[in-house]
Amino acid sequence: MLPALKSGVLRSILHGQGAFRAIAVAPIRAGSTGGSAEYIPPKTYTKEERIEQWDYVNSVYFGPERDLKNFPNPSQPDQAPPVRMGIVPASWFEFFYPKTGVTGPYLFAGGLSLWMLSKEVMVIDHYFWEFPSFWGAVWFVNYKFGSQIKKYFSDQLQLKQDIIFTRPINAMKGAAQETIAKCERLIEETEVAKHLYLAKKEGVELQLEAAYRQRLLTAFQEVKKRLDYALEKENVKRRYEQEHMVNWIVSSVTKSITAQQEKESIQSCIKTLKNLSAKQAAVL
Amino acid sequence: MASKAVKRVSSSAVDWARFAAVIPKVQIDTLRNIKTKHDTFLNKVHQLPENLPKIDFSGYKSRLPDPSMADRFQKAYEALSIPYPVDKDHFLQKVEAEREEQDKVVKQIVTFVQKEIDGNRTFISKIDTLPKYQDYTRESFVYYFPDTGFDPQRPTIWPHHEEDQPYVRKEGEDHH
Repeated sequence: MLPALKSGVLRSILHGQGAFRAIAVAPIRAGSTGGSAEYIPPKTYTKEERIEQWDYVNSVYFGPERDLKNFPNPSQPDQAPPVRMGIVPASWFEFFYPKTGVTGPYLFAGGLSLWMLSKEVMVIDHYFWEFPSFWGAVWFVNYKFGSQIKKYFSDQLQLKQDIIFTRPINAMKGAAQETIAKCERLIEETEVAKHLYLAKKEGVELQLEAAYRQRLLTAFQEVKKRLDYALEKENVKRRYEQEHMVNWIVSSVTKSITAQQEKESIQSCIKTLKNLSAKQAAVL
Repeated sequence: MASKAVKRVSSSAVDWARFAAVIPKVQIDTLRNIKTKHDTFLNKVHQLPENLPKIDFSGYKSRLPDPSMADRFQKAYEALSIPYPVDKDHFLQKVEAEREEQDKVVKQIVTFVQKEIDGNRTFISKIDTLPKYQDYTRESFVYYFPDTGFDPQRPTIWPHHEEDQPYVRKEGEDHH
């Protein structure tokens, strides 16, 4: 059998007297050593161990060898079976219904009571009234506080169920689902490698492309520079030639003027000025 | 002109939004750096001309003293073949090799993680096949849940809840 089962309750069966020893020893260890109780953590089970255990136990309790038809698995009902008149089980009425109809059970109860009274099976003495008064009190308590009592006990049961079953099961399920979600995210994150590879590859390719384009630009600029140089050279040459020609002509003309010519020209200028002043005076 | 064999890149094929979505939160700064760097490469490419720019040779022809020079230049310029730069340090090969290595690691991780997921899925499906709470007897409950069921090795005091046991330290309580 499984080690988990061995370590559990079945140890008492498997090891005979060992269990009694364990029960006898445990309270001493837990209680009377000056309050320093030794904490024994509950044994933890891995998922695989649990699955193995559940599979095995399922095969025992619900396996093919189990005769579930004649010996069904005991199941605790959620609610108590229904009653009539506060305390009488409804199933008793249902037992009578096919044979005697609706009034049968009442008639039977009345008839039985009458028969018991007449045969003095049920004697009306001082103690007789205990019977109806007791059940009357039961009915009254049920009528007054029944729902509260029921709520208290069902809450207790629910709490116990939560503590030993629902919460641990949900915790296990939640942890498993959380692990699944985390693992799925992890798988998603491995996609980073693909994107990073693409980014790196493109980085290299883009740099190559940039270098190529730089070369294109350089070629264009160099060719254009040379053409512009030729053009500019031509322009400068033309401008220089023009300037030189002008300078040359002006200087040649200046040189060709003699002292006589200068004198004459100055005199003609003075004469013109005089004429002008005479004209001005006449006008004024 | 560049030879047709060379694949030319002028735009990014990287899905940055998806990249940012899948990257672990702690590495988001690294991603930002990568993106910045990548963008500088891309910007540089976009700032430069895609093809050899045209030169207005006819204009030069009319203005140059020697039109044959423009003709010569035009012929030479049109015949100009600029070689595409070569990846001298074999960065592409390095990237490729890195990728292969990464692929191996990724495959390993995915196999491992997938196993974990499958194990947990099986576990959940097993939990769903367990009997309902009402269907246990005290005995069968201990077999199903040895840790929460009654264990004579670990006797408990009333009300038999784990948090009420004397060996469980309570918050703020002085434990002698």
